[in-house]
Amino acid sequence: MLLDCKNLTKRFGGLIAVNDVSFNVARGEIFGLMGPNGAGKTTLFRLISGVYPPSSGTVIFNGKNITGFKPSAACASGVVSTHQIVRPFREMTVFDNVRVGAEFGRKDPKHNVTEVVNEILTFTGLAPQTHVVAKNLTLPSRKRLEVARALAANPDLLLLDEVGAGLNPTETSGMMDLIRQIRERSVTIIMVEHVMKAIMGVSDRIMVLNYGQQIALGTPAEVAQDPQVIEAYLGKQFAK
Amino acid sequence: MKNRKNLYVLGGIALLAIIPLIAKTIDNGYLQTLTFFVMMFVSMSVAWNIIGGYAGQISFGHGTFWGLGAFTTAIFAIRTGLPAWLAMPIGGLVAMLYGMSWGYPTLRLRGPYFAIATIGIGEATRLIMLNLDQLLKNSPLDWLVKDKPFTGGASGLILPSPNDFQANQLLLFYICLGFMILTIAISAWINNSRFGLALRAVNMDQEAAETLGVSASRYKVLALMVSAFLVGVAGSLYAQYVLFIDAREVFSFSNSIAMVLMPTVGGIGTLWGPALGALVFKVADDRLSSARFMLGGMQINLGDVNLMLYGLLLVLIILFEPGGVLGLLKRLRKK
Amino acid sequence: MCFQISILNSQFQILMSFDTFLNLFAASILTAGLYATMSYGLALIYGVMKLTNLSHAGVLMLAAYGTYWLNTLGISPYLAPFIVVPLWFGIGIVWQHTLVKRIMLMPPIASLLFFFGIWLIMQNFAYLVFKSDIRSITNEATLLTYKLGPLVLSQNRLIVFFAGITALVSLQLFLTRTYQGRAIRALAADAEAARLSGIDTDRISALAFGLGIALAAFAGCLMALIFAFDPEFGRSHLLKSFCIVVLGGLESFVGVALGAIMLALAENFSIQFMPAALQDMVSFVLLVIVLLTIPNGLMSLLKGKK
Repeated sequence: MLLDCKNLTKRFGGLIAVNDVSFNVARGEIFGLMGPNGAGKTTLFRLISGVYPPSSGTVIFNGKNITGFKPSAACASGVVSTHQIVRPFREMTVFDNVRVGAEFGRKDPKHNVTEVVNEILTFTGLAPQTHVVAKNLTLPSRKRLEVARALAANPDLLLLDEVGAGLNPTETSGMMDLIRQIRERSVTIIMVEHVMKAIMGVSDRIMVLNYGQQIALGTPAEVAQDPQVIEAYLGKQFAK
Repeated sequence: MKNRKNLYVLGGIALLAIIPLIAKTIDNGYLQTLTFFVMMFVSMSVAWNIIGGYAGQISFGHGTFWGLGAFTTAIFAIRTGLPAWLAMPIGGLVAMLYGMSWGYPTLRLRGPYFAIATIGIGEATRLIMLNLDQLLKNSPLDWLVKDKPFTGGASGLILPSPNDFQANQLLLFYICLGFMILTIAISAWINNSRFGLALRAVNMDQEAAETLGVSASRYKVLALMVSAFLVGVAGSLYAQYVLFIDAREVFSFSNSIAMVLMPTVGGIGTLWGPALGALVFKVADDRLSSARFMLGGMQINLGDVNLMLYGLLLVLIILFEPGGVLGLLKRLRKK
Repeated sequence: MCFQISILNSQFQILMSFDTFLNLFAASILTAGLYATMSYGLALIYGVMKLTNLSHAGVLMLAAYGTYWLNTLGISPYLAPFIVVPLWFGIGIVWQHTLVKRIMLMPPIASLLFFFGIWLIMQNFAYLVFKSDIRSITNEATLLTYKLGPLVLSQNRLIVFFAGITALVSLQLFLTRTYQGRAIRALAADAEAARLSGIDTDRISALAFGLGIALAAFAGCLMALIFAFDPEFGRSHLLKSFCIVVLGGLESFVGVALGAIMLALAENFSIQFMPAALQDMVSFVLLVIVLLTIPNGLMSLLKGKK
């Protein structure tokens, strides 16, 4: 197992955002994370990537306990996340944005930084915009930049938070193709996605959260038929 | 293009270097003193910009580092009898360690903690320095104040005067020129380096930077240390030049205000903006501080409304041209 | 005030009598009432708008001068808040609508510089109009004290304490019992959610900003009753306000009260061990210690225990 999360819980004051969630992800897998708004998906990501320390529970990554690591330390271990709302370094060029990942992520001693950045820009289709200042990019390009930057940090595990949100169907399917290609680079992926068709099509397994709790975990087909999942998404009357 | 820029820089340095030679014939050396202070303020402004501009952590208390550099130098010169210029790195070091001691806890966190703390530090330090002699009396460190004052309290400290005053001023002028070049070079190096990339990333979005592996607090503290060191050295130069310092004056809020104002006027977060801002600020300050005008039959000295002008300038720049003079020039050139 | 003076004479005497202790404690509680009022103004604006209002210091200072000026016109300093506070509330609302609204869209660095600029303008205004002399309001009530067993309480300090508490309690009622108040709290908790649930965020922000400024002004009026002030007045209180907010956490009313008591105790008791001139340092040192040890504030300790 690449990632093994045990009994993760996060409380904010009286509110329980993530409640006793356990799951694991195998190397090379694309693992989907679904759930209605406020189900705790982003919070779960932040527990894994170290933005918040969990109230209880452990995160084992690559056999190493990384619970409560700071984001920069989690990144050094090989866990990198993207952000739900894209957060490029606005005043930097696309090149420099990606350079931040390449410089401060896990260094690959075989390649120099400029090579890595250029390769990733080509891979993500951003090469034509190399010298554009990030704030001037269109939304689809910003989404790609978010992914490119994370990829430059050379992760083993990439957490993608709604990289398809706000994109039209063509752009979304382009993004899903990119995600499949990322897996070819032997990067394991956990992704949160609202576009049902997209996440069902690309994931090997899916976990569904509701009110911070795990309500289903299995292949896309299994999850799609789970009465609890149907209830959470469509309301009680549709559940058997 | 690059060559032309280098040519400008070299020309500028050459021009500054000959100023002491011509100053005497023009205005009895006043130009030399003014240039010394301009160069010192350019260094301070550029140094402030490393933490305030690149890292985006506004400091309202950099005057403290300057004052500490000055005091360290005075105390060193008085106590050891060695030439004061030897104390320059020590002054920088003291300022740096002092900055670290409260910079570390406040920079570790996201949010305005650092900026707010800097508002208190100047006042707190001034109070300590004014009362230190009193505090040391009858304490285990009594020997420090036994036969001569340590910080001098309200009456200040007088540095031993050099044998040849004129030669000393001239020497300091060139040291200051060299120091200014060094400061700008350090700032330029940071701007182009991995360090600078980290600072700018943290400035624009700390959380995003951290998820990409940048250890934000380390780089911010490092930036503060470099900045404080350089400002401390500038303070040391000041003490050697004027040969008399007192805590009330060197820790006054006005130096801290100047260090916020100059880079903002010139172009915060850029390489040359802070230098330009310091030049504009210091020359204007020198020309205008004695100016007066009539308002509704009331005579107003410009010196009495300088805070208002500074404040107005800050507000206007933020609202209309956050890039400062440099940003304005760039925009004009595009048109 | 009188007991503080007697302590000054015995700077390094660490032992204190029980009476002294009691008096210091009472004085701390009284000061805390004022401190809480002053800090809540800063906390409200930061909580709702995520802006650090450095001009807080200027508002404190100018409100104190306002009270002083009205006093010279023959208006009692006890009535001055009824004129000064609504005025500042109005100024706050106008500011928000004209300038601050634009600042909110900029990076935090811009708001710091902006409010710093405003503060400088205020300071210079005070220098021009009132000169740099230290002012204070004295009347027959200034020195009036009550004896309560071993306690000696100054009348003005009691008035200030109860006025501050009244303001805070009414504000709390406003925030919990009225639609506007609840909207302010919703905005502080989650701006996006508040917008989605149909709250007019512009209007509510303006209200919150006006209230924050009004609270600062109220604290300034109260300070004029018990402190001497000059145009530099306010800087150390800005730091104190911030220290209290950090101690107490932004979201909780109880937290701010606790923070205020902590700072007041630290200040009053530290005079026992160090010269009074250094009193303004206490808040700074406390701030640094708190940030080093419990960066999430006192409330995190309480919550952590559960």
